Amino acid sequence: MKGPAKDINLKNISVLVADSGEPAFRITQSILKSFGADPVVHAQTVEQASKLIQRGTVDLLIVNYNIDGKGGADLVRSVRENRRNPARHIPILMTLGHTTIGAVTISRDAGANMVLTLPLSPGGLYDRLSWVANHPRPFVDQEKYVGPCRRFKDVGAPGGMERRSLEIEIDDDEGEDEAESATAAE
Amino acid sequence: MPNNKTNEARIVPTRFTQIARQKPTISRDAAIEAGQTAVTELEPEYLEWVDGLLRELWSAVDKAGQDVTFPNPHGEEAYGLSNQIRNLGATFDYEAVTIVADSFCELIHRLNEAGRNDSHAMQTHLNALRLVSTPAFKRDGEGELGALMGALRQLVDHYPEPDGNIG
Repeated sequence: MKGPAKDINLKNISVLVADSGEPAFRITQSILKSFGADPVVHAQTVEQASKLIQRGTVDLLIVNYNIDGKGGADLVRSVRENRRNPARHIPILMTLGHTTIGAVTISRDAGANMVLTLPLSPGGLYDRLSWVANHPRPFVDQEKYVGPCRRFKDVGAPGGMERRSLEIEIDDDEGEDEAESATAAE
Repeated sequence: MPNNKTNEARIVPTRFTQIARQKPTISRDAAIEAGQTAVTELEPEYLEWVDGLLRELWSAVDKAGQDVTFPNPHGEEAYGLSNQIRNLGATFDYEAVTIVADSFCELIHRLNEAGRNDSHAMQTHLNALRLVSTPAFKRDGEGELGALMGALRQLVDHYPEPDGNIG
């Protein structure tokens, strides 16, 4: 992420926070509501989240990797791969507390737009939402992967901005193929 | 069943991207100020939240110690709970809670990857977490954190690191 974060409007943006923990939801909800997002709804299980997403009224999904054990990636995959799901293209941010490289890779390969390390900071969350809003990525729909093109890079917060959120550099063979598809489709 | 997936990738407009780029916007500075105020207003609930999570963690660790199956569902539960405590500590700047809970997460992660159970190491982490969660420790005890972490580190390092911890 280079350059200053562009201002964004979150009024009437509907957010689903899928997290087993009530405190984590309350913190995320408070920050998002202070930005103007409304409603901010809670799902404590993957099943609850899936049902809410199927209704087609969720604009943004923030899901914890450890919901229902390690069910966050399964939830993201199910949203992306279900062609009848009206919300399959929505932006998805995956949150991680104790973070391992394996969890980051799994999150990315499940189809999350971005991975955020916890704790959430208002600045870190704002920067990511601004980035997602202003840098939409081609949506890849392939046999082995469905989700935002992984070739596109998120290589660091703009100068002087908060860096509490994890930054991932994505540059690999799968991304190479997806980038070619994206170029062909433009 | 025909495979109708395509190789084409295109940018799909979403309601989020459309609304987020419209005016009126909230500036980054205003959003940060409002967000920090909102988080600060939740701080009085911190101790109650951690206390509730510690009780659940106590139960999960107890059950994990009695359950020899693998993967151990109570170990998974303990991992999730210690993660929640870690994140709460970090949100409200309780450094000792954050560090000890993170060590607890790392221990359970390594145990799971190694297919092992170590009730002594888990119980020791739980006791340490209960100790550092008290307001008295935050006030007077943070100087002892280094020694405490040294002891916990030995318990964690008894098991190999399966992959890099980048948190």
